Amino acid sequence: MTSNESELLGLALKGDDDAFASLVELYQTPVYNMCYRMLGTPQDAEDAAQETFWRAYQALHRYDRKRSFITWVLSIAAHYCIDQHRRRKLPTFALELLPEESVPFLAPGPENLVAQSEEDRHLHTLLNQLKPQDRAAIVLRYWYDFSEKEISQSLSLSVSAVKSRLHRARRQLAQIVSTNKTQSLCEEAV
Amino acid sequence: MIHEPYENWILSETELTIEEKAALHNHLQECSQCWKLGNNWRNIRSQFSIVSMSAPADGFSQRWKASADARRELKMRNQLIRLFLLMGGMAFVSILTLAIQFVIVGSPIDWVMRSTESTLRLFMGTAKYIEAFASAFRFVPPTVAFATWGLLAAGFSILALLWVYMMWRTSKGEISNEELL
Repeated sequence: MTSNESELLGLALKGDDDAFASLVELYQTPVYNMCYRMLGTPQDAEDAAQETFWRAYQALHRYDRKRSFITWVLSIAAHYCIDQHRRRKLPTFALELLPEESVPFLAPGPENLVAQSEEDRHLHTLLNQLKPQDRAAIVLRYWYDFSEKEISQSLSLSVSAVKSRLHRARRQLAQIVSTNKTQSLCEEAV
Repeated sequence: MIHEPYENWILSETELTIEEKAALHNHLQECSQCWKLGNNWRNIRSQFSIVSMSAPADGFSQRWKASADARRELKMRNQLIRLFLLMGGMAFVSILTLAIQFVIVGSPIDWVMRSTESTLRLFMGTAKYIEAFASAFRFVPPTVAFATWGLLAAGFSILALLWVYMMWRTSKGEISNEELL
């Protein structure tokens, strides 16, 4: 955390609403991304990110300054999104909707935006197959480089539970791709 | 074919020993299932590294500010409604308790008679006080009476202005919930 962030946090903790709004500006992308990866649509992600910041604002007096602020906010976002899944029971995509082939590696850049959005869509479809808590663990691990301990703190799980969830999720993702490839080969043969 | 512990090694992110690497290498040459699993996982892993973070539409923090203001206002309104309901409830319970007491102590006719009598007494007592107050004013010089009325009018005006100011601050959301309660 930079000194400016720390200063903003100090002011926000003293009740400065403008300082908190600056923190929202600062952390909007990681929080929105978390919600987007968890819920899958921009509108749901926007609503969830707004709700996350509101919950953080209301619970600010309970925030422990020894902990990273963004880790704390992401933990709120993850719990909120998991709850949303439980409430709505979002429909998952059918395996047949998966793209036929995995997209080859492309260096990120403006010229590859279309291809990147394709990658994005593919990943979304894969993540949608996972259970909400497994998905949250995967998102925190691969988008935020959280350690297993940090994930366990964020999701209120034990480290061993996180390890087994990550393992299960990785195997499931790899198997989904495998199933998809087999299905597309069968379709081609027909 | 037994896939353990190879499956775990493929999906694990911990560094394998030289012996483990060699054993995995040998197993992958024989087992197409594990080879596929490893290949697919590597593919997905590379996708994770190239898909960047999604950003919200422009003006997210402005939208947050507006939404936070609306939520604060709603929260304050709800607290005021709760306070009003609480006070109303307390008043209702007090009246109900009194009514029950009256019913238990005497008959409904006694109750009506007693309440009529107390109301009349109250009116008569108030009239007496007003008369005493007015007669006291007859003995004081007109300037003192004028000053007293002036002070009373000024006091009421200040109270009214204070009330208007508080209402204005409440509507602007400048008064915290704690202050209100």
